[in-house]
Amino acid sequence: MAHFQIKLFTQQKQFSVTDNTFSVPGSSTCTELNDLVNKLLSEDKDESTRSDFDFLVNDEFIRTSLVDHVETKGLSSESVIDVEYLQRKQAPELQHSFQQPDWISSIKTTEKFILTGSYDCAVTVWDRVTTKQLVCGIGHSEPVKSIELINYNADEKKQKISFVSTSQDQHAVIWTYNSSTNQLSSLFCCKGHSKSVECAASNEKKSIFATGSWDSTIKVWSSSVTPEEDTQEVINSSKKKFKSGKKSLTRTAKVTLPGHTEVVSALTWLNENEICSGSWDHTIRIWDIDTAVEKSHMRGMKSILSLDYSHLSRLVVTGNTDRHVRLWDPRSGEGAVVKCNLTSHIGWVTSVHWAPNDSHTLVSGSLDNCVKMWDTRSPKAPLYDLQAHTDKVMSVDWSLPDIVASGGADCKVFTFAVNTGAVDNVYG
Amino acid sequence: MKKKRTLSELQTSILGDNEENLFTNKPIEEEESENEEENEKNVAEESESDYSGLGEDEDSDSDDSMLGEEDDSDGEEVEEKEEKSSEQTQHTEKDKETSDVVAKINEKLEKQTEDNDNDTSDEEDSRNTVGNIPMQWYEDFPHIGYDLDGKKIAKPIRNNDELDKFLDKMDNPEYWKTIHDKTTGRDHVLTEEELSLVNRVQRGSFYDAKYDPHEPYVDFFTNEKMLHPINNAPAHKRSFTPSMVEKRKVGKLVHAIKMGWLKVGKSKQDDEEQIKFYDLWADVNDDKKSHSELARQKMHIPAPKPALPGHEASYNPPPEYLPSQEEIDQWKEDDPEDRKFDFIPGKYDALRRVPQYPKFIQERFARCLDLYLCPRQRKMKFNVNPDDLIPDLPKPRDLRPFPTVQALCYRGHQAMVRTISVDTTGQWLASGSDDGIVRIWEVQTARCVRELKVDEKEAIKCISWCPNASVCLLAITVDAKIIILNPYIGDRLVAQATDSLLQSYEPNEEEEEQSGSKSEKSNSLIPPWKSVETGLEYQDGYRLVITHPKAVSKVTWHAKGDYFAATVPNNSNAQVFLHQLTKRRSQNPFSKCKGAVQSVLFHPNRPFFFVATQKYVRVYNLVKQQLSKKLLSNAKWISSISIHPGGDNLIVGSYDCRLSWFDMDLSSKPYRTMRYHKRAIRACCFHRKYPLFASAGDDGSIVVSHGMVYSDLMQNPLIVPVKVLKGHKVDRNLGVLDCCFHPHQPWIFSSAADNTIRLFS
Repeated sequence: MAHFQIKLFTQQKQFSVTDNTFSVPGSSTCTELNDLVNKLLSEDKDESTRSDFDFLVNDEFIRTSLVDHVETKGLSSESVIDVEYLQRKQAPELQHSFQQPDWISSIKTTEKFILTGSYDCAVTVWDRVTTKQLVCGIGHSEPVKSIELINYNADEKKQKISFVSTSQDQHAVIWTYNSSTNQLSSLFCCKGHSKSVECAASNEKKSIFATGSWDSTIKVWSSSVTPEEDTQEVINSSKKKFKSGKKSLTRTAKVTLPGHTEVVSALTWLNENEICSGSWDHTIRIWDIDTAVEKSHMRGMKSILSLDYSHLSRLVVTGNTDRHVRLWDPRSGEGAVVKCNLTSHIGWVTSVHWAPNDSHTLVSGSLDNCVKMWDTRSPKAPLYDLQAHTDKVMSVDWSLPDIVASGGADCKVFTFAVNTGAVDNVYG
Repeated sequence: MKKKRTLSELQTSILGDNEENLFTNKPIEEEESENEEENEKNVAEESESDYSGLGEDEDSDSDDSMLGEEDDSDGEEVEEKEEKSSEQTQHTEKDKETSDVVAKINEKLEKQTEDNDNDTSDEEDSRNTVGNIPMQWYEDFPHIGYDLDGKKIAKPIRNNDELDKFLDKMDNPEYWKTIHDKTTGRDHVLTEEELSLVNRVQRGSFYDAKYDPHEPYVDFFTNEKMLHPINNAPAHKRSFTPSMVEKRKVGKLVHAIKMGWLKVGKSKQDDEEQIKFYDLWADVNDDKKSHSELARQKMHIPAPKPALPGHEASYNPPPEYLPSQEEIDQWKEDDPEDRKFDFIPGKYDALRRVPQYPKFIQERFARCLDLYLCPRQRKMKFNVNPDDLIPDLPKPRDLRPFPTVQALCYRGHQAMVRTISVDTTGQWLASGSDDGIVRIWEVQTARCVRELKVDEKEAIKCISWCPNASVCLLAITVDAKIIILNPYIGDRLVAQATDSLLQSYEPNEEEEEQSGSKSEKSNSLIPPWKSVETGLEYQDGYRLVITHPKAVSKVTWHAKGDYFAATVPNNSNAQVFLHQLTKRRSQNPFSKCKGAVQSVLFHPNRPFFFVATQKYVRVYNLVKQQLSKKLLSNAKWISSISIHPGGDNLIVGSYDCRLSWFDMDLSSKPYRTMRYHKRAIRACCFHRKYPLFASAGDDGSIVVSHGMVYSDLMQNPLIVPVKVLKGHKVDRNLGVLDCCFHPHQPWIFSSAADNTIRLFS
């Protein structure tokens, strides 16, 4: 078996080793390399603590043997191969699970609470620690499709959060939850879409949010919790569609962005005035909110079900109606815009979410009952399979660095604790 | 060069030896000097050539030899003159013959000198220049001519009387070889060489003694074919023009043949007249072979070869070939046809001990029979590359997108799902099952959003969304009823508008009266409409109920969503009803129905109506109220029909596993018949946007095909099967019961007898 000349280096300074060239057999896998690095580290520091590492060649994880990896990457076996290593991300641990009466269509985590929107038309607030249902609010007449935080530390005690939920009843509702009084109140009803509202996304400042609907439009709304000029009293007239007597105020859209030819299924903000939308018409469009025009669009081959943008890697990740998770570069205008396919799911990818603190990691949920954690440097195999659901996964969330939450058609919410060890903030 | 020099030396010596060389002395000297000069030159050349190597040596030699020849000729002339001068002194007589000969030679010499004159050589200044004139003109002059310098050549002083001649003849021993030169007036004694020349001439031999007539032949042209032609001149123009001579000749021959003077076929007759030799060994009637005989000869098929004898046929076979006694007994018992050999192998110690073969005649006869009965037929082998038989179709991966894998499974029904329908937006899927339950599903998540128990017992036969996007209506057939349902789903405004549209209906009384008068005779046939306006049913969404005389099997909407047609099989003549939603009117368009109607269909954009009976699809023009076309499917029992969104192509699925594609512009027969299903086809459908169509059958599979219809009328549709979708279980010999495409996406829904609906994407 051929031997390779490798040079080990790392960007995690606490694990750095001498800058020597090693000759290793081609058949060696991560395990052997791990042993090598640990040995070197123990020599240097005279410590017996052992840590697991992952190894990268050409920015891709070694998952098979070194020789296979080098061959598939088309590298020369003659020259010295630079092998980067980093501490292996620890597997997320299943933390909590709690049952809801109906399918969970969307989930969001905050520092204290977990918010879910479900098919029984309700939005529910859960305590993140005790996993108790704090309050349940029914403000929709049809299943809730998505939920989005618009303000979660409005006051210093972080007792008040406000969020928006969208539903098949064509409305989005802005809610406020006060944890001190344990009161959930619906403040405004955003009316304007003519069909089921599928998704909502709030910008970084949490000043406005956008919703996408089956009527193939995107609407941008103000997310302030105080009444504004565009809000008005609901005339409780003969209109039957609004049965909930509690709601008193209606909000209308600031901007409407028509352009998609089919349902807008996913939205994400690129920056303060650019919004990125994915649709079943196979396109990803980037819109300028100030001018309300489409800036650019990227065309794929499959309908898009979910979409997320990472400010760290500056990439858009999409979940499609096939088994791939795709990475897109929104800045490249033409040509090969799909940068990478992450392939392991066997069903539609309903939900994707970037890690909030790592430019390489993301999580995806699929109709094959599986939640997968991915490193973009390992496109063929996920980092970890989070197998807990027994039915379709409808939504995953990784808003906070240390928790991944998922909800699905088995009416269960699962939370996974992510170890935010030494790896975090290395590349940030 | 040495040779040359010796020759010139010889010449000078000859001349020097001559005593009477008085007159010619000077020129000879000159000649000598010139010769010397030349020789000097030659020496110089030689010395040069010595330095310049071997190759040039030969050339210089040849040059020299040419020079030498010239010298020779010059030398001869000098000798002539010399002899003439000697003639002066010696007067001798000779025989007449010789003198005659001499005279001849004289003439010749004269001619020669003349010839040589033309050549002109410098040393001939002593020559007489008077030319070819009668010399008697100079008889009275003391000179006989002029030399080259214009000086007079003096006559030699001599007496010419007969006595002198006689005396000379008597005294001079050289008289016989003395000749008179008229031009110089002198006598010339022939030298030995000249005499030998004379002799040669007399013998008829060659003039030049040195000439060798038998020199070795120098082959100037080789017999080998050379690369380049000797003469590269192009062929003359004449060679291209037809020869006039030949033309004349041919013309004469033609004329002779025309006139009958020349007979062309004469030679054959001559042959016949020849004696006949008989071929003793030839077959009788050899030349008169029948046509079949000739054909047989031409198509010669060799007789089958008899099998070669094996070891067992040997007179002394190895012992394992010798049969045991049991085998011999067995052989004798067996029928001759069953025997392995037609003889018993035996062992003999010598060939001469072998007895005569007893069955020789039988064997020969059998062989003759073999030959006689052997098939006299030539097998025409047909070499076909199997790949050539496969039509050249594009590869399925180039025809994407099309559904490939199962994406979702819609579970919930407790009985077989007989019918499904997707609404125009593609968000909702309606399905009806055999336990009388209608469910509406969210396509994206397989979530059942509505469940409606329509009937306790009867199965939902057909369900269909209204294709008009501005209304939200679902037509359900259960037993004899068609229920128009507003499921209140999707756009609320649309649902409300639908309700208000239905409520706004006001029965037109005039029409009522008219129809009332008509309905007296056909009252029983026209199904009544019933509007549901309150109660539990209204809350469930029921809006209209139309009750037919018998069970309705299918309902289909017109593209605009106002008309819908119902199929009522087994209802004698009223098998098809057309209903109009806005006017709540029904009609039976056909007074008489041929065959059992299986399915009906509206043309997507023209006023045509398709009625599929068991074997035929009839196309009616609704405006002209007449039959416009009759499509002959080769099927025995049509199960379903579907029309291409363009309206010119139709697919017909049948219970005998066939799916026929009709191009209605092309023919009334199927353009293509596909048999991809192993069992009956239950449903077929076209995609509205993508060039796809699918058929589903009882074998539990859905065959998705690419069916591209070109706008160019000259180009036939391209049909490529792209995918077989499997996933449904076959239950009670029933597989997939219905299939339909998503309106916008390349997805297909299928419902099956295993109580599930599946989405393939």
